[in-house]
Amino acid sequence: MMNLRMIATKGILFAGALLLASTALSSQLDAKSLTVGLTSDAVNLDPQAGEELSSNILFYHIYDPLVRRNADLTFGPGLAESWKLTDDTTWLFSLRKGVKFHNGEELKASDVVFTLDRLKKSLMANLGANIASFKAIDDHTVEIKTPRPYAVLPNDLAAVLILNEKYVKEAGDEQADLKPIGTGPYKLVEWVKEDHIKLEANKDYYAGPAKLDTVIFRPITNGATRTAALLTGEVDVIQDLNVRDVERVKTDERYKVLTRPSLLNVVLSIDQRDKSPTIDLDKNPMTDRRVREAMVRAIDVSAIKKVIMNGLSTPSEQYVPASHTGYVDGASFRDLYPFDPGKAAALMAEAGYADGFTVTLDATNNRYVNDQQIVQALASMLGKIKINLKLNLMPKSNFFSYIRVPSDKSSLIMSGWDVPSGDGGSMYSVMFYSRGKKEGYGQVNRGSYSNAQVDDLIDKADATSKLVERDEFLQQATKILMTDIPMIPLHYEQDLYAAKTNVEITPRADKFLWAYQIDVKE
Amino acid sequence: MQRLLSSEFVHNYRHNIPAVLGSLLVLAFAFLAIFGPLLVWQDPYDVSQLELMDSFKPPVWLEGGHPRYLLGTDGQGRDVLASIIYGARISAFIGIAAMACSCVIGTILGLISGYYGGMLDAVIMRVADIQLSFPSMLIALFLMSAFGNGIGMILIALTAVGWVVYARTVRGSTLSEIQKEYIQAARVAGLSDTEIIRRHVLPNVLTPLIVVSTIQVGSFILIEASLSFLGVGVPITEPSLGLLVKEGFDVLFSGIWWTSAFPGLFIMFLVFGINLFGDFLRDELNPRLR
Amino acid sequence: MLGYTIKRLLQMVLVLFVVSIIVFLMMSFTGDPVFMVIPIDSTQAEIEQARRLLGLDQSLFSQYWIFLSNLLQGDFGRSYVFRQPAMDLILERLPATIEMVLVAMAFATVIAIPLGVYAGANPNRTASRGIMAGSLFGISLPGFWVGMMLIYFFSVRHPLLPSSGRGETIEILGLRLSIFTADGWSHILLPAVTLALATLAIILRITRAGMMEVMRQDYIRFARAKGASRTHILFAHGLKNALIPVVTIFGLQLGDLIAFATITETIFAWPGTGKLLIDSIYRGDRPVIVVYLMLTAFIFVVINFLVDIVYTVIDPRITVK
Repeated sequence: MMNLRMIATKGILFAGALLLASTALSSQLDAKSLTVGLTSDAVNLDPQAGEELSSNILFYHIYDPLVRRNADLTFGPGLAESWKLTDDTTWLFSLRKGVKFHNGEELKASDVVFTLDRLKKSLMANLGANIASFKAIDDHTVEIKTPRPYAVLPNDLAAVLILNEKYVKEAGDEQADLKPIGTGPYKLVEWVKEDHIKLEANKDYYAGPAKLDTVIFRPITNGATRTAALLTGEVDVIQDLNVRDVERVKTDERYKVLTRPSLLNVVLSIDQRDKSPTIDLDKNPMTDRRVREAMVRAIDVSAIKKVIMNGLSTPSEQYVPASHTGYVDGASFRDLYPFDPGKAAALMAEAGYADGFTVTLDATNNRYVNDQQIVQALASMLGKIKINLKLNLMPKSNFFSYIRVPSDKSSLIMSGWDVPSGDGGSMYSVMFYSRGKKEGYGQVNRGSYSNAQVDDLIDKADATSKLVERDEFLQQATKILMTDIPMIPLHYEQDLYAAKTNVEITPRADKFLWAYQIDVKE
Repeated sequence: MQRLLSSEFVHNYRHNIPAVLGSLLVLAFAFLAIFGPLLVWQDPYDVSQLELMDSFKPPVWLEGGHPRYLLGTDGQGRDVLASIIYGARISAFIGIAAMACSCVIGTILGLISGYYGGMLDAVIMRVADIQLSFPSMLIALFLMSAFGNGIGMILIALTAVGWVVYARTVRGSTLSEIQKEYIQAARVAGLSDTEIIRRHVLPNVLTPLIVVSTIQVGSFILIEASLSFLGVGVPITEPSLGLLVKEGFDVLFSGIWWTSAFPGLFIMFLVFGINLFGDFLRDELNPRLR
Repeated sequence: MLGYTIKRLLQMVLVLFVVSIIVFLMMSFTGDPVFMVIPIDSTQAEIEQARRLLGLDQSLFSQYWIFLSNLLQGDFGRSYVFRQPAMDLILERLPATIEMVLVAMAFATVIAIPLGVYAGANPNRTASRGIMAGSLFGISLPGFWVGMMLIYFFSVRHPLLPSSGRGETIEILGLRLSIFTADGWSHILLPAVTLALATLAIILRITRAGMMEVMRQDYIRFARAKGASRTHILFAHGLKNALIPVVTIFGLQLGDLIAFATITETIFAWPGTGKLLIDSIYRGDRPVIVVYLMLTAFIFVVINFLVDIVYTVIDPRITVK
């Protein structure tokens, strides 16, 4: 009998739930609030404890950097009003006056010094790799020295978010992570793990309060579920719309799809060692430039774009996008080595590998957009010139330690690389500089590529404090690299967002969705 | 043979509609798994046979369907029916092979445990106890995450999960068996331990295992599917049914339901058939429960 | 009774100890966790520094030793990724999982027991055969697939119920619960149904088997002869005695539900411990995995212990040994 009663009670609750769900659907957006569906929950709110995307998005709501990176990758003043170079390696940053942290403390040079000091000892020490020393000159001036002339220090500093010394010291690392205090445009209201993060506008923000009073971030990991959440009205904006759902969202006039080419270049690193781990031949065929060129010509990047990426990728012209230093105007892998299976087969024959060879491609299965599908397509394309591709797919948790330099288990690796600082040099120095020659150089050179000329150009680029000169040296390096083909660039992913039509939002180049620049029309 | 055909077992079988249905299902699946590749025109593992341009074709009875692809295609232009048939082979292989490994290892350990007793027995049974304090799904999930994915790894994980039930059953039967007089007599007659186990104990402890094994194949197929769904099972190059469902999940919301619905249905009917048959066996071989 | 409790406690400590060792050993096979938390282009010096910060510069043995000695002081270690105490991470997500599991269990029990009693009392009726075939279907269903189909039909084709998250929660005694709000119920319905199906089928089958066994007993015949009403016989005499195996399986199922909750939580983006476990596995976050498994083992042992106690209540003839 009791059972029956329980069923009845549940029935009533259920009916109530349905009613509520349907009224929620029909009700309009609150005056000025926004709910965003992210791909995952933030892991940390302490900017020195991690760096994945969701956390990064939240960091820039709560904290500010000294130098602001704008949506289009230009750089401008942030907490630092201005900066100047006093000699080749010394920079002076003047802080904005009267900026208040969320706890009421005023921003001082000592906070910046504390932040940098803590950064150097943290997991994210890499963000400060080009900072040699720093000190407060007065309450609002900070001096930063680089280990060598380094023209793009301000770009680097856009990734360093300023903490409040007093608060972090009082609260301790753990609380500082859970209840962050920054100077940013939003304050944390509550963080219910894996459910939502609620922020409210910081009325005292130095650049004026944000237009949206409340912003809620909800983690919805599954792409399909995320789309559903948008379509059922649970969220207003979603990040990373499934490629397959684009048409469906587009056809509905209540929603819009926003795209922006991302900075993430998906590339194949080619092993250049004489003996390659997964190739059962005495000599590694891929050391022959003709074989590498054949590989480029055998890969139909536009077919991958059309069929696998649903038109939502941008075939890569070079290793870095046009906005970056090191990009050579007009040069493109696609013009230099257009898709041509016949020519590719001829090159293979010329190099003495008409019968091809077998090689393993290491790739992720959960890191890049459609990564599994892409490598399968690569296998079928390279198969046509008798390069028999074996696929070794793994989740990203295993992948990055598996392929890490010295990469002694890998011959071909598909991975992605992005350079949000806008400086191609930071990629070249870690990926193309000869391994083991200099600390801080070549540590991600997975194919053991080595060219003394390229090393020399990178050295020169890193020795000048003038941006134009740096760009010139890097461009020269790009030209050599495009002939040598140490890596095959495939495409840039497109960042995809979907939003309700009344949400005014422009995607950022660095993917860091920023509610401060979003508005909702009535 | 004649005796078998007229036996009570066969009589009961023929009058038990679910049992007949179950075995027919199992037989149909066995047939598909063995001869299926001859029936479909595409080998979904051979990437050179795939046409990217034919991706996401709906089943043939829907608008836009192509008669070549009876149940439609997935994002790589892979025929869903062909993937299911090849995937079913992988799923069934994993289920049966893991069962066989568990059965052999479990039986051996159970015999040792029951026959010799003492420390060995204590250790084996404590390990079994500890293992039983975890859901098998969780253990398998954990092992897969530690070792990385692949069919070999799944077999190891499932065997690590599955041996316990055999070891316990066999140990129990062995204990009751070795107290019987003929075993004592054989001992006195100077037969070696292995001889006694092989000739007298083993044949008498096997019957209860038949039921366990049947049901276990079904549950292993489900566990494998779940692991693959979570992304820690088989690699994408050898998709089992579970992985096919997972692959279909991402596009389900775009109205592409056939890449996940059909493999899921297939798993369900496969396991259903096995369970129907296993149910019948249990009722027959364990009359107590009838 | 006291001796029994102590024995079970010792057993539990042993289990937890072994689990911790195995997990520690196993996790050394996975990728190096340090690469999951630092930027890819970190230099060797930065990698070393990160290792030191995470305590990964020690040998596996000393890592384990440190873990064990901290454990005795109530410190379960810190997540590499979240940089928070692993136990806190799990405990703050536990209410969500428990809530879903209990609702699923309630669904399963409420539906399964009456059906099981019916099928067991009338084994030869067509309806009973139907129930049994249906229950077999329930066991054969891949749970994740059911969840997907439910989402497809109830959130996409006919947008009646939300497809993810927990909805509105209310804080009661410091626990965040969603079963006290209508919105919460609309969120919990689909995941709980998905999770309940297999358990429902199993409880149904056990109840039926128990019922059939009991109905053959003499006292039921006496009761019938005495002229007691059928419902009275079924529920007062029959069910009560058929419950013993049900209680056992109830305990086991509760554990299985917690395990399978990982899948359900992944599909419905339910913010519980299962999702944390899967995420931690992907991230190689060993401390969280170790504590999760130890906590699960602990819950298991406690459930089994409670089950044994419940036995003695239902059937006074049984005494715990």
